[in-house]
Amino acid sequence: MKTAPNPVRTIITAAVTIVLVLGGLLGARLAVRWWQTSRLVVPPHHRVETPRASTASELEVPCWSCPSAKTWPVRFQTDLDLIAPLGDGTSNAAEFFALFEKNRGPRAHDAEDLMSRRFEAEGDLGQIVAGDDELLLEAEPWVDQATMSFYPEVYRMEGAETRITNLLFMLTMARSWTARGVDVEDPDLGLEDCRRTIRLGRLLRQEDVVIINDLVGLACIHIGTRGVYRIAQREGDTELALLASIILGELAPQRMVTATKISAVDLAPYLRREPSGTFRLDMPNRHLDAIMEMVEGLTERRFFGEVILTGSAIAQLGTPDQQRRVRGLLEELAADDDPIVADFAQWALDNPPTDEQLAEFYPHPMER
Amino acid sequence: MKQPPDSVSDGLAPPVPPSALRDRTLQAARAAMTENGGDDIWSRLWKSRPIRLAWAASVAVLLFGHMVIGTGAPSGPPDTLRPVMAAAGLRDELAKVIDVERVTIELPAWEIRVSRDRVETEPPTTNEDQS
Repeated sequence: MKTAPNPVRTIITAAVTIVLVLGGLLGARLAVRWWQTSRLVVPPHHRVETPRASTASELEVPCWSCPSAKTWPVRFQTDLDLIAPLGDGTSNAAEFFALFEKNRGPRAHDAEDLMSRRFEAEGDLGQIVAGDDELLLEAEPWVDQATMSFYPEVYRMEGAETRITNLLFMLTMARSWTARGVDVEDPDLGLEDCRRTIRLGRLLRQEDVVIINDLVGLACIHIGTRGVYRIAQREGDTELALLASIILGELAPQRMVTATKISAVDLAPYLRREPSGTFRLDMPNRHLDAIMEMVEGLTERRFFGEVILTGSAIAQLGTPDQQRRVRGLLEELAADDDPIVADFAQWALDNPPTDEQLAEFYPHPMER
Repeated sequence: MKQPPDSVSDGLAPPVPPSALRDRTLQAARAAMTENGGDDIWSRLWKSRPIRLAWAASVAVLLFGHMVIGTGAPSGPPDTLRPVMAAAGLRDELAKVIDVERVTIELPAWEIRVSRDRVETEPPTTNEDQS
């Protein structure tokens, strides 16, 4: 005989199930959170070598204004190992810094809290945190790793949706280490802090995928090297001061060449937003010629991203001939051996930019 | 030596309860139980106020826990790749570092026209040196 279902029993079973599901989910989420954060608190053993002492006689001043510099990659010509060799840690430093990604990282709140603890440093260093800040100390061993690689280890390449790390968080660390280093009386401890800042800059430039990362890396090297210069000057170490000043002298040319390359592919002067919200491109063919010519000689991977973003706009808005040429270029890049470049170019071919994306990419010159 | 049965003490034996008493009692108990709703284990759980309170409290605590974990990361758009000029144009603190300035600019025709119009309509600026 079949008994009728007991409604009370059903309700109680459902109530118990709700508790079990909620508890299980909470446990799982806590476990994931713990896995994402705790395992990265302390990186594996690492070592950082003291830089080899350089003598003035072996230092050269790179001539960035000489004609031969036109073929140089946008990199330091001076060996940065002379001032701040990288550590030999085997972890990927990007895994740690990605935890603090704005609005997405599992420790984004910690990064926001760090930002709220900042104060204005003396001089022109900008906003820093206290030298004994817990997060500043926690990050230190991560800068002693040998590599920092975000793509594709941490973030996937997703065209214009590709995520980037919290660069302001890193810049704050760089400023704070340098401020602490310059303040401390012991020159060795001070230099160690400044070198840590330079190492962070070197790590940021290592991957060569995102121009903004590279520019912030350059800024970190600038900040750290200025700290080294001040300590060397204070201690009367002229050879170290000379080395620091040569490195500092290489910063502006690199920014300048970067600006030149970016300007060469910038579409903003030729784009106009119509009252209806759509975009119109009024670009002379010679600008596209200049872009194509620049691509021919490109050696740094980070500039390809800029070319591809520009190319996707031209492929959508250019004249029929410009569209054909730029599609050919994107197809060529999509077949590139470098998967980062190839994936990005393929994304550009598959995803023509919308008016909303164009408005984000070119916000200012067109709003007139 | 075995004693013969004592007829006197036999008469003093307690009276036997009525044979129907057991059935009547059980029947009454069953009736009372039915009147109370037949409290099996499920019914007792259902009616227990402490258990209801404990369930509500545990659900509230678990939901609160989920809310706390849920706010582990601020909800907002992630920073994504964009042209450097656009990123520098955001005018936040980082923009000062990444703004490399446009080096050359070739003005398209409409821009030149606007600039020329401006020049034609604007009155000549007065210079301190009038000599």
